[in-house]
Amino acid sequence: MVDLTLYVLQLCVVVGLLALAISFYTDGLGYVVLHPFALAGVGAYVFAVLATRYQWPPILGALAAVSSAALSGLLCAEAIRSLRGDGLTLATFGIGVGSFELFRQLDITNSVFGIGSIPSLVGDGGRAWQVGVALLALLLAAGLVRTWRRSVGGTVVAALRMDEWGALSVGAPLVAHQRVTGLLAGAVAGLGGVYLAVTARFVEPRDFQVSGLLVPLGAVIVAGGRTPWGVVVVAGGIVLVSQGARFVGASPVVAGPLTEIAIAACLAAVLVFTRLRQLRRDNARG
Amino acid sequence: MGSILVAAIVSGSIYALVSLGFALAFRISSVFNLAHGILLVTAGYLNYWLAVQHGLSPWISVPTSLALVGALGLTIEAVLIPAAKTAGLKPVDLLLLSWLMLLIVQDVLAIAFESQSIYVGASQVREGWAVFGGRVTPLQALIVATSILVGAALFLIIRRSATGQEVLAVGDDPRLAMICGLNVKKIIGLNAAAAALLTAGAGILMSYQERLDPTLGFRFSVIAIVSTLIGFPLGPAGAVVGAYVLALFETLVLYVVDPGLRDAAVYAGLFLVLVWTYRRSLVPPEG
Repeated sequence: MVDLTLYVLQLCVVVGLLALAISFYTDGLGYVVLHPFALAGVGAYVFAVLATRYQWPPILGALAAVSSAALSGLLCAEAIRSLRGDGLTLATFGIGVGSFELFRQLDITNSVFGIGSIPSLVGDGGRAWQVGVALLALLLAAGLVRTWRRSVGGTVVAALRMDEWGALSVGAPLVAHQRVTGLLAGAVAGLGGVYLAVTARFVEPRDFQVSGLLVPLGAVIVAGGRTPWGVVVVAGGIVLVSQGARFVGASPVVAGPLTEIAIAACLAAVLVFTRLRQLRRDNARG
Repeated sequence: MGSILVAAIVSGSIYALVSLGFALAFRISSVFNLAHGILLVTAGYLNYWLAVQHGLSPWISVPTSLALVGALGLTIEAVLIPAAKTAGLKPVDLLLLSWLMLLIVQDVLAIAFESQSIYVGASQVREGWAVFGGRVTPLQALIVATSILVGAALFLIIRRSATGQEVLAVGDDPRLAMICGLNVKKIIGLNAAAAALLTAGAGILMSYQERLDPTLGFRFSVIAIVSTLIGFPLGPAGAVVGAYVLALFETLVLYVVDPGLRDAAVYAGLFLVLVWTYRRSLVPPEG
């Protein structure tokens, strides 16, 4: 029971970090992106390869992995910067599922078998250490999001979200902010990937399926642009509810698809409700 | 090279039927409906359930599956999408909702059929005819002929018939079409039913040709989107050209680069085609 609770806590942290990565885009520039899972995969695999194949010290490996994910985020931002709306979302879908297929096929990621025996960042420090690392990762990421939102850059990004043409006409540097958003989202997603690798000590392509984005995306939509901690708390809540079936001992074969159906149906209802409420507010304002 | 070409034509023909259905629907709704692929998978599974699990003749199971999936497609394209658009939902919301619908149907099929893949065809596959160094079975020849004939017929209907022109008019501007006296609801319904029937037909043909599993819906939705965007300048029937181009690219990756990267090629195609199609069309100029 303690191990299961710890597993659910780790899942909450990974999902929370991914939700924060999506939040950089969605609550920042207003773009709905679906590639942060691929960026988390880059972070996890870079850490796993450096730590197991090249015996890098874990801390150095983690830094390199987060940097690689941030760089990948920057490249993705550069590639999609001329897209908007559903075209942008679909293109990031392409990046996400394409990367998943690459993780499944490349020799360096050990194809579908994944990479095991990944060293922990803190050795065998026990459960207290694991909880501590979880909280530290979340604090780091949420602090980064909060600082960014309150900075001048965050204000410019908010202006770009509200009226892109208007903000540009007063000199807001759109491309620079698209790049910074990509970089920061990549770093946070990469942190999520590294956290997954060091706690599970095993990474496989299945960890980075696009359907895994359902919960983080749901958390961002439900949180509706509130504080970063709001996003994290909602993400944790959805994970706890979705993992509830495991606590009551339901069969994973049926519980998995049933949980996914329930989350997808709830997310669809929330998405429609949120949008309609927003439209009603906009209409009331005239 | 001959065998690569034959393989590309055979898989391109299946892609063409699915993409034609998507292109027809997209011409009016302009929605990247990721749930489109579930019509193909549902039709295949429904036909399997009726023909294999209940022992019905294909003369009964195929039309029944077509009718039921046609009704499902009609509901999605002619009822749900217009209602969501009227309510004010954005295209990106509809894209996400269609993805959620795809996941739900995929999971329902996985639970109902215990995640098993299905195959309705004969256990003993006929050797087929030798064509350009490759082999083509009678079923594959039927698929190729069907997709070419349907593509050509659709091209002529869209370009030459009054109904085709009405579909184009509603796709361009539904309000103007309504003012001009067109029965927009009827045209949307007709178009949606034709789109769903084409996709369902492709799903049933595919279930006789290769194994289907519930997760294939997403892959075929992406294939349909990429093919439609490649052939977009040629109109809805251009999806046939797009489907063959995509199939050739995929087959080249399969035979020349690495068989494992076949799906990655399709998804890379999605990204590249979207970036190319929508380059700088919606965004403010730099500087």
